[in-house]
Amino acid sequence: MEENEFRDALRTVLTQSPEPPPMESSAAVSYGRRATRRRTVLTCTGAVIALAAVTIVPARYLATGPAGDGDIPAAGPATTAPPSAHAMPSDGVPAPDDTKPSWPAEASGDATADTGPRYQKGKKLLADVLKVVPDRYGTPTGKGPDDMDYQWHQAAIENPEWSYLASVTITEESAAGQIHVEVHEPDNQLPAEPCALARSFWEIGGQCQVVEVDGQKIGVTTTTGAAGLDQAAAYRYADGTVVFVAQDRSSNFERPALAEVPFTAQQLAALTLVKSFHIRA
Amino acid sequence: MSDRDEAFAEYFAARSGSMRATAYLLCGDWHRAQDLVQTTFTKLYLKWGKVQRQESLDPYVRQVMIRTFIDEGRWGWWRRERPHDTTIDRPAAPGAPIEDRLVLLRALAEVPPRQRAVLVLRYWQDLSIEETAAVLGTTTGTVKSQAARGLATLRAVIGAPVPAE
Repeated sequence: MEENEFRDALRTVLTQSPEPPPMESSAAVSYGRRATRRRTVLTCTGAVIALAAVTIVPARYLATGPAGDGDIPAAGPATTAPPSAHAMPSDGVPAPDDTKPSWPAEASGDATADTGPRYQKGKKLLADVLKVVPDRYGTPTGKGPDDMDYQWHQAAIENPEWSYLASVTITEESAAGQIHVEVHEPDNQLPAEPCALARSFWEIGGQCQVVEVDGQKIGVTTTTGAAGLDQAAAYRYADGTVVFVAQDRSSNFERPALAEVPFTAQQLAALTLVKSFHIRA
Repeated sequence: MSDRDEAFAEYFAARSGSMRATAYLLCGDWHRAQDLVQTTFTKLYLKWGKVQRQESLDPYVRQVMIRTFIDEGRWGWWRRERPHDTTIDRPAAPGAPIEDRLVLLRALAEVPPRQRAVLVLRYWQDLSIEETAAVLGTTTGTVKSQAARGLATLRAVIGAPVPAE
């Protein structure tokens, strides 16, 4: 098959494949809002929105799970359904009344702990991240526009390990950027090679280099910022724990971006070895 | 709905169809294509405050979608599924050989995800080699070799003799 022949064949496939009805914008907005709240610490307000997403929660993480665990996933109904939450029509094309996008496989085990030991680990991670912010930056607290927190932490079930995320908005005069630290417990399925690991963080991709710090090899990947992050470093401990540290000159808020990232590549790499970021399972 | 949500919804309404078509070629299945599009736009929503003023959102969204697709560690089930030859609700266009369409989709499913992404970006999206490399975060040389390998796989799969019954 030659290139032009293949190009024509692709167009034929699309023009002759019966297409489902358009996807619903309102559903897309709903999923976006839900995802925002998953990444934002929910304070006690009367504005909590019931999470109706179909979330797959492994049975062992329910309230009746391992004794002494104490973590109560803030998740939807438990189910062992396949990644796509609703049944696949036999014809392979969603019926007209069944075109609401299902919560995709990312939701498999994507429950967050809102209390218990794991919640506390996420909270402590945030406190530890604040300690490494250079003194020249401010670290606002509370909420900004769109009801989004300037700082947040989260403990979430991945596949199959728990992960802990802490994000801090840093400011310098009117500009604002962000620092993220995400830790994955052992048993994760993340890449082993340093650059593959670094580039896997939030699908950042980018151009990667291996930086050596204290004899350890750490992947540091740099993007043009198009993926929403400027740079990420990643390190895998011998016990399998993975620590990601990422920096972004811009923030989620309507403020100018920082003139430069807060850390050099070497400094960012070194942060992956901060002892307090090595969360034990 | 806030102004932000309205702007996001407007962009979704305008572009999700096109993105879904690309996702269909990647996934070989409308259902999974919709899941991929939904995941992509959810990620976009999380970044909306920063990216909405970009001159063109399409390249960014396309990059997110392609990289999400390639991330097989979390989407390994893409590879287990194959387009299947079943009846459909809506009739195909007249004169359209369903078998040919499915042959191509099945052949694409045999191409490794990253090579498949290169093929779709180069020959469906008509991106240049440089643009494709930027989307994938790789080099132009890698794009060229993966395109060549992808086409070779298609030729091998499509050209494979049918075993005698």
